[in-house]
Amino acid sequence: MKRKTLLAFCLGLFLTQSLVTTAQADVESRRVELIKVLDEELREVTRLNKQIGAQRPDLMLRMAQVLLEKARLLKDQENQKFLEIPSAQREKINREDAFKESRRYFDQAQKTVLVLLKKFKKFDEKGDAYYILAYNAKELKQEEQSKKFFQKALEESKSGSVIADKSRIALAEIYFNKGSFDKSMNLYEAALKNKRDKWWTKDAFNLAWSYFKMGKHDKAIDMMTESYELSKNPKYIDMTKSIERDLAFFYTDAGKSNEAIAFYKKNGKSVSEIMLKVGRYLKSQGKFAAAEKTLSDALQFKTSEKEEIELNVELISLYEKFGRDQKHLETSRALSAQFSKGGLNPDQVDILRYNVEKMAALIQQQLVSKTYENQTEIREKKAEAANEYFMMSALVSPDKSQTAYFHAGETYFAIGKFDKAVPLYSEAVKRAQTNKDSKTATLASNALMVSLGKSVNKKTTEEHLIPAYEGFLSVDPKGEKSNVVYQRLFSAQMSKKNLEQAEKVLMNYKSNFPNEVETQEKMLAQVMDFYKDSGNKAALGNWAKRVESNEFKVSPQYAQKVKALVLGFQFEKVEQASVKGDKRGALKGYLQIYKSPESDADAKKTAAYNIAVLFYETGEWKQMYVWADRAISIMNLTDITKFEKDFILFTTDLFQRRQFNESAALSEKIFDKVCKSNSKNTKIFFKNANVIYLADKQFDKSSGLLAKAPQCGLGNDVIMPGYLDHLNELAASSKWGSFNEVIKTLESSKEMWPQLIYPSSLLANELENIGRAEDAAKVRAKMVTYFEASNKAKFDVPLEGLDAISLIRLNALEGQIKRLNSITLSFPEAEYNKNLKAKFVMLDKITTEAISIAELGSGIGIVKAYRYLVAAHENLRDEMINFTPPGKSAEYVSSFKKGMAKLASPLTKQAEDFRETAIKKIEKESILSSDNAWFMVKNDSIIPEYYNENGNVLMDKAGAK
Amino acid sequence: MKKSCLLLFLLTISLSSEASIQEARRLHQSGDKNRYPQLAAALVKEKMYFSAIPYIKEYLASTSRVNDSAVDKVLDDLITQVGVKQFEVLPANILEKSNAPTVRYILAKKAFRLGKFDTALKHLDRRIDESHPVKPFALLLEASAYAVSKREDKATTIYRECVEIADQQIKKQTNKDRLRQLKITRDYCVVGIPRSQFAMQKWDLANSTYLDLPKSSYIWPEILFEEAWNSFYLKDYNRTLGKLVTYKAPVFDYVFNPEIEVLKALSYMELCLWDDSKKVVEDFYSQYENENVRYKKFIDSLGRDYRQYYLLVKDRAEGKYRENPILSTALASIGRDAAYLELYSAFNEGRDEIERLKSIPNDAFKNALNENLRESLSLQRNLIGSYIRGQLQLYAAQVTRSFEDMSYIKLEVLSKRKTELYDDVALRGPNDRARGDVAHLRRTDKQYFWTFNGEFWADELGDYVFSLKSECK
Repeated sequence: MKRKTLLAFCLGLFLTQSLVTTAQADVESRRVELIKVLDEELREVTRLNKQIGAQRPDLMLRMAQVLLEKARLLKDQENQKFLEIPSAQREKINREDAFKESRRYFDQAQKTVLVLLKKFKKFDEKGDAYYILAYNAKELKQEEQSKKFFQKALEESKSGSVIADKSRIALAEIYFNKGSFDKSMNLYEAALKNKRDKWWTKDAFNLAWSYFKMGKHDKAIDMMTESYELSKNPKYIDMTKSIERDLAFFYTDAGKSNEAIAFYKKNGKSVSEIMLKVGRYLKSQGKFAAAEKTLSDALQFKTSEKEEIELNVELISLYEKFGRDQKHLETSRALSAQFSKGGLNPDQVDILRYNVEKMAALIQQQLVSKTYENQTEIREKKAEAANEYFMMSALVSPDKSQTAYFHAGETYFAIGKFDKAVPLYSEAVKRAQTNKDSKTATLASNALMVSLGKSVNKKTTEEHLIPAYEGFLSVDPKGEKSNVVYQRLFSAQMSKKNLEQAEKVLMNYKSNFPNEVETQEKMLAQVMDFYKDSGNKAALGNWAKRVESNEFKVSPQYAQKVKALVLGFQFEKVEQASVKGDKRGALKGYLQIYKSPESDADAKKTAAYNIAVLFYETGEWKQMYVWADRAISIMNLTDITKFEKDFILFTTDLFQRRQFNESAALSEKIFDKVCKSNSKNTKIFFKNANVIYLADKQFDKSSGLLAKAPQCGLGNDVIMPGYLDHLNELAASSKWGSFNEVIKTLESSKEMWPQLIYPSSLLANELENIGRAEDAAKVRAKMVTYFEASNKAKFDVPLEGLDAISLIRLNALEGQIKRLNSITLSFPEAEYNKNLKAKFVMLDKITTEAISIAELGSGIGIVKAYRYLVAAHENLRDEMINFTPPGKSAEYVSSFKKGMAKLASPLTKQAEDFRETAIKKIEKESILSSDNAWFMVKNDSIIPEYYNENGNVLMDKAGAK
Repeated sequence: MKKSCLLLFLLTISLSSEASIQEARRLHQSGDKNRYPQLAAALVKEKMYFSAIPYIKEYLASTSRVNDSAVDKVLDDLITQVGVKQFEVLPANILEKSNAPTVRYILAKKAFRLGKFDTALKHLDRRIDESHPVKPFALLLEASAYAVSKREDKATTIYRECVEIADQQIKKQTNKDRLRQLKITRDYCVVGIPRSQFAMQKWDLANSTYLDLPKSSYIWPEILFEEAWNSFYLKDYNRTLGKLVTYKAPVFDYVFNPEIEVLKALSYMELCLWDDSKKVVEDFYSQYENENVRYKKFIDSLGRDYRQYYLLVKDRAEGKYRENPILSTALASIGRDAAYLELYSAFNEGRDEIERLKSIPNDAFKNALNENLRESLSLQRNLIGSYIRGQLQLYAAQVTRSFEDMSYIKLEVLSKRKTELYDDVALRGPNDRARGDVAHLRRTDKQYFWTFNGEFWADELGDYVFSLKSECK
């Protein structure tokens, strides 16, 4: 409180200082400006003098006036600077130095005037010159000197001149201030004969006072009246305010009250207003009884509420001073009523506030100190009065009204009037809350609780108990006692079935006592039970949701209970329908649950899943797919794992119904959900999805699925076959675009290399077909690498792979055979021998290679390799037998032929052996090759070959056309 | 036929001219001063006006009284041709011997100059014929005498008569110089009416009457200044300033009137536009203070060497400019002055006589005429120089007086500014009576509104009106 007062004081001081500083700055700036003007004036007078070329007394006078004026301004300035110096420092400063500059100008002015007076003895404005000297002296506080010069100025000036009258007035003022009213009276009288200037009214006012002081009441009143009338003229200084005030005093003092009233009425002034002024004047003079009478009488003449207020404001302090309690109370009431209408200005409000606060405190003190303990009637009246003052105090200080109410309560409490104290405390709490005064709120709240604990009647309890609890909690929401108070307040609200308030209490309790889980649960249970009992499912559901959303810390059992309660509530009817076989009804019910905004995720997923099952049962695959999809979307991993067998059923059903897309999408969706789980069926969902995507030629989806497979923890044992399927399907569909990328993926795993040979051969063929022989060769080289590496690693190469490798090597073999055949046998003999030898060497190589091919294990390779061998041998044999050396004798030829037949016979045998071996292999290893017929069929012309019309294979891998 | 007529006519003239000279010679040889008027008449007949002047002057000095109307006529004819100045220099008692209207006019003018308005009127009260060349001038003088004697009604009537008579003579006049003099006289009579109204403080009336003077008038530029004063007295300060700004027009650069600036400063002061007023004062001082010293020094250096003065204006008229702006403007102003022009044109006419004199055979008579002419023209030139000197002195005095006026205006402005500063928030207590009660003022830029945009248009000259808002309260 003290701090606030101090702050307010400091603030006030600061504002005042700032205003003062601003005003000072303004004065200073104008003073500087004035000095500038005066300097300019001096320069101009000098310049004029120069132009005229002679000294003129009027200009000298002017110069003296300017110098004097500048001196006065400089002195003001110096004075201000002097006063601004701290007093301790000021004492050490030489005053002469501080006022040196102004003094110089005073001296110059003085000197100029003196020169003027000496030089121009007959100057007709000497009065003016003396007037300057007089003023100069006045400035220098040389009062006698000043008086003397004014007197001289008066004598030297023409009788009716301005300067004469000014000198008279100056002298009159000197005498007036000295209290020599006889002299001031005479001088004023002479000077004021002419109404020369605007100051006449002001001087006449002084003259009136001079008359008054000299006991000349009538003249005083007449002069005042005349000045008053002239003051209405804007050409004169307006003295009406001062005159209205002082004239009333003149009249009163002269015992001419009626004339006073007549005067003021005539001038349209309020009598009461003037009496107010008189009253104030009397107060200021210490004449309190007269002041009270004047002021209270004035109330009869009041002409406005404003006047009434002003009178009452003056009176209230008088009543307070003299202990006129009843009058004080009545005046306070009147002023309070005016306050309510907004009629009081801030000062008046302060006075009223001071009075009501003081009186309230005074009476309260009397009651507390038990002054009137044995005077019940007086005590109660006093308490009522105190209460009224407190209420007025609350009215005028709404921001502190809680204190007034609290003290009013305390007053009644002190005399044991608890039923009266309780509502006041209660109001104090409310106001303290509004005004954020926690201290008073606490005090009032405690006091209220205590009072309610006293013997108060039932009505009071009913009316104030809940507010008391609320008030208490608002002040101390987390206190030790508050825990219990919350529970009581909750019970009180529940017993009043005021659920809204009870819920509020619950929430407040929860936020202030978050760890009191058990109590919260109890409160919660009471609330939910109430809604359950009253059948308010919406409210119940709402609360259940809040519990489920973990807004409240409840025990898991309770949480489960709530969930069960809600779900049970939802599925109750639908399940009954389902059990009765009413699938339509059940579907409808589940749909409603699914669509209901009230349903939570659990309810929705259960509903969606059940709908899917119902559609599965009814064979409506489209709907089944949609709802299964929805259910999967909502379900978490646990739910999916729980129902994955059912989902396999759904996907299988869709596959069987040739709805590959839906089946695969569903599988993938489930795969996504179970991706990182330990589900046993993850691989199944993956494989199913991939195979079905490939069967449906959805390569992109397959690629996507394959790409995310590693993230789901699937091993290469699952993924690589997936890729291989993908690769094979690409090849089968002649989709070569992404073929190499897949190959690359698969290449990373060497186990896959045997599997890559055959699809690569398809690519090589395709490249060859389109003329990219070099690329085809590169692919084939890679195939060989795959094959050799696989052999080395002892991986099994699939039969198609072996076929592909054999075909590559057979192709090379075919080249060798062609080269063998290209060597022609011819004479001379040496060349013949050479060529034959070469042929034999080549045949040997061919034989080695062909046997090697045959050993690869490819049926196609075996048969073709043997065919090439048989043919190569037989060709060479035939060539040797059939050759006849040209230009040779018959003998030679015969001998030659014999020798050749002999030499060729091993070839025939070899060819036969190979043929047999081939046939054996064909038979033994059940080889099905287009070359079989070459060995097995003797008659070439009947070998059948089958082609369909379109040249296509009949069926693809998925069985689709 | 036509040719022979022409020859015959010229011959007659020639013969007539020869006869007049012979007559003049005869009268001269007689040595009888009483016959000098006839001698002068014979010379006037031969347009030898300046040669005739000494004869008539001598006659006037020697005779006790002129009772012969023929002599008066010679005087009238002569003065009409050579101007009044040649005779103004004669003492009044000599002039009073004649009853010739022109001589009466000269006497009245001399009396007027001495402030003897009744005497002036007395000289003019005898009737002058309406057709007499001096009539308009005499009427102007008479009306002026009435005007300054505060007999406004009478003055107005005579001014009107003057205008009427002048107009009549203008219609008949063919001589260029005479025509200009008549027009100027008429115009002075036109403005004589508002001038006397102004003197009677009938400013409203004067304000309208001044409009009777057309802007084309030779004297309009100088009258504009009077109109400005009239507006000033009507408290129409914006109009005053508007009229004064006209003098800034390049066509008026010859006008020499330092009072224009004084009136300007005064008008601003009356509008409480202190800064503007002070600026005019300061500008005036800075423009003229030093120049005036030099100017005064210069004219003092010329002393009474009238020939120098004559040459100054002559040079100026021939395009020679002086560095000193006061001198330069003053000379330009004199160069357009009606009185100067009258003197100067007469002087030029006189010089023509030199040629005429050459045709006369060389003898004693010719020598006498020669001497007469030299004397008259010398006097005429000195009269011109004297007039110029007087004007230049007058201007110097005007500038000096304007400095004084300006200083007083500035002091008044400063005094008012002090009043404002004192009254704003009392420095020396609320009841200090040392100062007036004019509220403190501060001018805002928005208060200026001035239709004059710096360009002068002939038909707008003199019609500018400022729109400065008075800052007086």
